[in-house]
Amino acid sequence: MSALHRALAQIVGERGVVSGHAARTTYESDGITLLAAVPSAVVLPETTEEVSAVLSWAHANEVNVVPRGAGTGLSGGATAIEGGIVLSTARMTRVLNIDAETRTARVQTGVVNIHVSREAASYGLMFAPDPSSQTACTIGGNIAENSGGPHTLKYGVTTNHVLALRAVLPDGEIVDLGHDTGATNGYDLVGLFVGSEGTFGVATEATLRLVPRAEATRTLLGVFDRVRDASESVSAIIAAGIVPAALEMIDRLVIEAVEAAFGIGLPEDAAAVLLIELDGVEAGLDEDAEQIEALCMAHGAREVRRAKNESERSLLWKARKRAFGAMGRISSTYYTHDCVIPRSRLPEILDVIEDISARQNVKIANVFHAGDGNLHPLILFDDDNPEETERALAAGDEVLEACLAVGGALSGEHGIGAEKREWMSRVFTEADLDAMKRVRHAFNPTGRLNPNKVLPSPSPCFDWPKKPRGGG
Amino acid sequence: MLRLRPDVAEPSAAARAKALTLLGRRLGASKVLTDADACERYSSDESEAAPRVPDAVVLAENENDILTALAVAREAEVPLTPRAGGTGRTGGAVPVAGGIVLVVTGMNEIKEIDRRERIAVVQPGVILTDLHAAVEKEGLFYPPDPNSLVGCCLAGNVAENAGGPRAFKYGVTREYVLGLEAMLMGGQRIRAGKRTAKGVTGYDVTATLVGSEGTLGVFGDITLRLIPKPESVMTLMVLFDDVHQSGRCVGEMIAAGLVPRCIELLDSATLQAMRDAGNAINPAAGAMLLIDVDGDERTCEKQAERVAGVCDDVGALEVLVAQDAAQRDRLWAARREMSVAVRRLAKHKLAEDVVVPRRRVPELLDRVYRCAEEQGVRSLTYGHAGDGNLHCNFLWNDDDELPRVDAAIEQLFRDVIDLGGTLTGEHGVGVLKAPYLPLEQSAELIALQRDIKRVFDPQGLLNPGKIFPTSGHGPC
Repeated sequence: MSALHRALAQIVGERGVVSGHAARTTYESDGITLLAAVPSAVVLPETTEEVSAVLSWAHANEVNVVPRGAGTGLSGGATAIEGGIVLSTARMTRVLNIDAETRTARVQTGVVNIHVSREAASYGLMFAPDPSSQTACTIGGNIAENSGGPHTLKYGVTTNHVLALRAVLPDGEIVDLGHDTGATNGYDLVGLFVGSEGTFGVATEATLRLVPRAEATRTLLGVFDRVRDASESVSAIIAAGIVPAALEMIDRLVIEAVEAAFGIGLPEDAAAVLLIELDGVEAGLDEDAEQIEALCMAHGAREVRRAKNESERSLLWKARKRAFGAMGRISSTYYTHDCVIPRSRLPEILDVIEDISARQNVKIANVFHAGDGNLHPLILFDDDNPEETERALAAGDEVLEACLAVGGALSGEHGIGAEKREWMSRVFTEADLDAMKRVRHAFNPTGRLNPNKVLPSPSPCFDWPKKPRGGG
Repeated sequence: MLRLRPDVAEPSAAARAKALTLLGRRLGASKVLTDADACERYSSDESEAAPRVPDAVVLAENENDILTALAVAREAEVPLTPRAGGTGRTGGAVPVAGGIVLVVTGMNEIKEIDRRERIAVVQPGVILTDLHAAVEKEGLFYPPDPNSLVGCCLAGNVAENAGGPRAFKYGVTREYVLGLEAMLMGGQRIRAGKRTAKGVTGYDVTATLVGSEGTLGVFGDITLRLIPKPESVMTLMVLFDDVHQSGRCVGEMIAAGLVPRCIELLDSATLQAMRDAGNAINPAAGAMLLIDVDGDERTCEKQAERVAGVCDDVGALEVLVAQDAAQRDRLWAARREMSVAVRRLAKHKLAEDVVVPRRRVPELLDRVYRCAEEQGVRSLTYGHAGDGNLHCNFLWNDDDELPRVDAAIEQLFRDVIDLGGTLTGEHGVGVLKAPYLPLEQSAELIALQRDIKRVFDPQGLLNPGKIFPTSGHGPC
């Protein structure tokens, strides 16, 4: 038994520490398997106080700590790239309270995303952010990455749905940020904490905003023979002032994979389909659906289908939400990219991606949140083939370049993590990055909580103010 | 504590003189006002916060002017207080230690409205009502609508994270700020956030700046998210026996899954002030809700019907649905004129902006009435009942009433915290509430925020005396 194991077991008990090599290897990466590092131990606390004790111990002993939810992230955020221990929230899964009148839920952050909506369902409420990984990913991970999902087009991303947090700072201090009413008093520390990718502290409890489940929905499937027609339809829908609950594009390669995996009945000869969902009160919903159908047809849709019942609707959503998993049917490996473009540039950017695919001779599949311009190009390759892997990575870089060239953002919902650090100085000036470093320094002055994530390395010199926290 | 200045050291005579010399040299007389009248004019906002008249007022015309003013403050070591429309209610734009007031109202261009991306880019001094008009002409909508909308500027809205009645459905300013430029005390010009609908690139510095009350940076261009303009709006005016009945009604509406655009509450004393100002209101009414619903025409009508149904079910005295735009305007005009009517009731009025969980609104009002009666202070309350965000007004004429007003305010804050509420919904902490922050927040939490303040402004020169309690300032 190592000294490390003993120290951690003293805090969380024997069953809260994982130190065998094989078991630790399970924690070597998140969804980006290209980046792997085995942590020296994994600790699974069950309470805020245990998290605090672990972080205090790590702070005193100068040990790196990498927080981890379900490990479904796609930017290497939960990978211990600089060594140290992984702090998993997997045992903090309780929904503490649901208050139907204030439409809020208080949860431990290790709870799986979909469990919150399931618990809230009997009150007619749901937690709106719905990343594709929602059956596995945790609220804590969602908070760290500021996760999105298809329905965030209408409902907003995670930051719009977190009212208050209990967080443990890197030195073990416990703070309550925000207020259950959603009001902010002083700086908006919740807004700042959400999306900080596990580098500011470990959130242990959260008060989430719940939204009423829509009275009615209409789910449409627009079928297109040309990708460009599909993307023009997206622009037309947005320009018409309609705000669908979701507006997703799925292209031919993804349809092929989904059909191979699930046989849902998507048209395999289509170049792309749009999955469009409207929700709200029943009155007026059919008019909006008809308007969308007309817009799609006017922009060259072959047909627009409408889900006739809940089972047809959930089948269509299965196609979308499990698309990533289905890719295994047509490719041994794939790299999931995440970038955002101004949504009116969608038609041209998809052309560019097609060019990149041809030039680099790798297949690129597209399944993404078209309504808010959030692309997820999936680059398919064989990771046993080093030369093809090289081309796949090059293609990914070119896609990012192209998005930035039209005024896009580096990430829509997967975060920067370890994956895109070096890209940060492409979109931000030294001064912008310096402001980010300053903010991080206020929370995490030693940098040992999730080290070397988000910001480019090495950190340039900065004259940190000398006064300790709490002074003057 | 109302008239007590925070304990912030004033700059030395030499520092002031140096600042004036540098400003004159680098910006010229046309942009720098130093005469007593002008300095006096720019020393207060719409609050009772007591100023120390600044030594100079800088009228910025562009971002370089802002950077220059910040550089002068840094070099001469004098405080700098940013100011937009000056309509704040907690003293955020009030200089408490002299120095420089930096006014951005001259930077008032709407630079871009993009219908396809649904964004607007505005300079910091754009007046809110001008933005509303410009975007609505394009079929778009910018929801935040603080009552001061004809005078307040976007920079001030962002600094205070302003709300307004429509926040109930649409959320407050922070939900609409995609990105912004900020000039920092160290001389950096940063661009935070994005122009795209989504984006999580790095830390959310935008979130840090929104609601920072002018203490972290001075804003330049602001990129705002817009939404499609709702096709139609319907207004209902509902009268109740008392605030308990109206509170039940709000609870029932929420429970029924209704999301009106706004739910405004006016209490008994407010209704009386309106009657005194010549509005015919049923004398039996002890509370009023003004409710807007919006959406396309059919959705709107359906919602209005359901809202009216809930009101009837809880036994409302009267439910009036505005039949046309003119009637709707009259209802809202009465609501807006109300603050003028209230102002006429006494020489001084302080509107305390507090939030309690929605269901505790009637309970808070009971406590406020009791406390006001005990202290012999006149009070009336109105506000955004849907959000539990109330404006409790205290009225007085003579300064010798001040200790009793102070006592009533402190009791209000203690009651708010006791009921699980928070000290400010949309007006910010500013000067006036800084002494009370420790009632709500732990020492560790305040220390963390001070750390953030320090990394942006190590010398503590940018808008000092705001948000954080200073020693010798207040009771806590």
